[in-house]
Amino acid sequence: MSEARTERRPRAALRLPPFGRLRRRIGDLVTAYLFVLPAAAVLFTFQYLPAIDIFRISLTNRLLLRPRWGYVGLDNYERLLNDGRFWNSVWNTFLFVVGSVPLQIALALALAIALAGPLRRAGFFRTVFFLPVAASLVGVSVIWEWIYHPRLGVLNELLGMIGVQGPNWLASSTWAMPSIILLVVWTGTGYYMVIYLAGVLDISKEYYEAAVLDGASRWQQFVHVTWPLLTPVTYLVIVLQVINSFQVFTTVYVMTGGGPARATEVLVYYLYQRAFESLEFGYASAIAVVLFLFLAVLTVIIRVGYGRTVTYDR
Amino acid sequence: MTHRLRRIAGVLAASAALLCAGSAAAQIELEVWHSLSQDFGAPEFEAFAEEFNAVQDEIVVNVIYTGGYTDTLRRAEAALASGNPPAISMFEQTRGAGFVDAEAILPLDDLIANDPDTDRSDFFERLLTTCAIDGQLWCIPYNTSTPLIYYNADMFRDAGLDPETDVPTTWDELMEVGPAFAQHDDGGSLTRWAFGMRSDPGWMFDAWLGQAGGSFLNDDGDAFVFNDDRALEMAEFWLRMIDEEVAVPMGTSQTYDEFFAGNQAMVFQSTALLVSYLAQADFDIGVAPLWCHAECYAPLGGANLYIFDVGDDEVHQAAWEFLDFVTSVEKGAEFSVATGYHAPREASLDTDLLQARFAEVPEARVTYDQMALYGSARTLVPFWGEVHSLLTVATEQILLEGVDPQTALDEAVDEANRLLDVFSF
Repeated sequence: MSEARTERRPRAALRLPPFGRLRRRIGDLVTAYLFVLPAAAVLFTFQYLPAIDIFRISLTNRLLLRPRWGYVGLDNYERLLNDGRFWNSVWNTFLFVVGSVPLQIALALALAIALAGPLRRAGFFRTVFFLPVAASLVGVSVIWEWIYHPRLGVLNELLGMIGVQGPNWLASSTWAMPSIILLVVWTGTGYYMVIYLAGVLDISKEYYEAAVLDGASRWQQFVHVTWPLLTPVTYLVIVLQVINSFQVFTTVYVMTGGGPARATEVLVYYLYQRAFESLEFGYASAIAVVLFLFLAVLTVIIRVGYGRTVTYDR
Repeated sequence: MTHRLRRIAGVLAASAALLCAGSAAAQIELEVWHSLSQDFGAPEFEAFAEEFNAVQDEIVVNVIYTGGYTDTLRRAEAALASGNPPAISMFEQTRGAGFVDAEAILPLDDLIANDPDTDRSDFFERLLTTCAIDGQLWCIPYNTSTPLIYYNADMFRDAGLDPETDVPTTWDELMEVGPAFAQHDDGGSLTRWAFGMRSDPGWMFDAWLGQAGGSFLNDDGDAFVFNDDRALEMAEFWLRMIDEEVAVPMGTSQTYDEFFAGNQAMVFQSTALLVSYLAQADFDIGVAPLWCHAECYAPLGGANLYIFDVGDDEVHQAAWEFLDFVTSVEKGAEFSVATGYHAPREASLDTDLLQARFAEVPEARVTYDQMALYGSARTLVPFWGEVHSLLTVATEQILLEGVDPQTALDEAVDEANRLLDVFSF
């Protein structure tokens, strides 16, 4: 249907006087907007409107269930500046991002390159590595709680075999965060592996042939062909990961509840505590707004810092 | 013309009267939300509701399982925010206060007073205290419980102790018998011990604090005081237990794992788990009331049933009739036998059903004795969820992080008092 229309249009447009052409263009625009409208309406109603409302609520002293509240200006934001627990949660989120993002990228890329090659049963392994992505995060977290069990868990059992006394992973303020990072890397890597796999398979064989003719080693091929041509993919993966990592919640909620002693209380978990446990909805909204600003600024930084170096093949 | 008008008016009036009669005879539908899962009384509760629908034809109750306590809470918060709460909802002991604070709950005093067949004093007095805020009654106790000590009698015998007489009844007795359980591996780390000390204590913080003679709020209820000398004595005692290898600090679920793995002689758990624990243990398992110190103290856990104030007396009356029905002497006894929870009314104790149960499983009686003697309501403030997590953090700091108890408790009390202030406007 659309093909038939595009075929007819040039001929018709030629014959139309200028005013008719304008009308035609306006007609096309209206059609286009009509097509966009349903999606835009849904987005606006369920995403933008609540987001705007969150900003409004952040200017109030609203408690979750209390029917009465009032505007308090920027008080909630001022409180944020001096809230040690808030900054602790920012720091924990930072640790989580720094710990998980590079590790996931390296692993996802390594797996993608390994599985893109002429490996036997590559399809089988792709499925195996992707499987954790499809698993329920709550279920996975509960299972991993068992793996991390200090005395009855598999991890410390294995460490014991090589003579290492494993720590009480989730109950130690030193090891709780690494434990969560490890779990998230395990569940998330498969997803980014698939994105990288598409990128790696997309690179034309000619580049490698040319590189081999020039006597490039495998490592040199990676550094000078694979990595540069994957920059658009890496850029996408970094942006996705940073946004996802900043919003880590489920694993923390299920496994540590932010503990021990707030060592894993990340931003979104703190926001949740404020909104639904101390019921300070206005204050929680201010945290949400600040989180949004963090993410916006970070995305811009990534875009300026890394997006510029992106090389496109075509 | 006038004649015709009059006739039309007559027809209109007649049909209006018919419509009214129709609506008066229409059934009242009630939505009831609960958190009872399959092993915790859901089949019984649903059967009660079916029976209620069958024995009368004015009210139809629609019982809906809305997930665990937290899920039900979140769902009710959302329903209230959108102005569409259910007629009745079950809330965990510490969670109803938030809805009372939001002016969303109907006080039940008048409904009970107007009911010719039911009297306040039918209910266990101590259970009613869990529904009392500002001198009014806001709920009806339903699936209430106390924590008990579950012990491994085989481990007592292995340690040269008598499980009949040596299960500790006081803190001091715990310190006397506790070291006898300690065993070490070649590396010197403990492989067996007496008790698992929860680093996320939940309602057991209430128990320890009450036993030490302390309380969360002062007598006037206008300040948190769980950083006073009593609370400090409690925290020092925890550290002493760990120091003398009587207890090992760990997360709650680990205390259960170690108990069932046969490494730990005693564990705190609700009486609601009685049926499942007696069946689950592959060793000789016993049940005892909580130990005492300055006082005997058992926090009341579980949940209660609340009627939402929807501004319609008929609905409220219908909701009360359902609550009256499911908490009846017979239903209460039936529910208690099936689950291990308390029956809400005292007369249930005299039913053949419960008497037969006690004769068969004497452990089922322990919680009733404990509740009647010193079962105590939790602290009913709207923001308890946050205090709960403050208690967890303070306990973790004390047990796992080596933070000085005074410092840890002061920090928690300061934040709790800040919230008290936030909510007092």
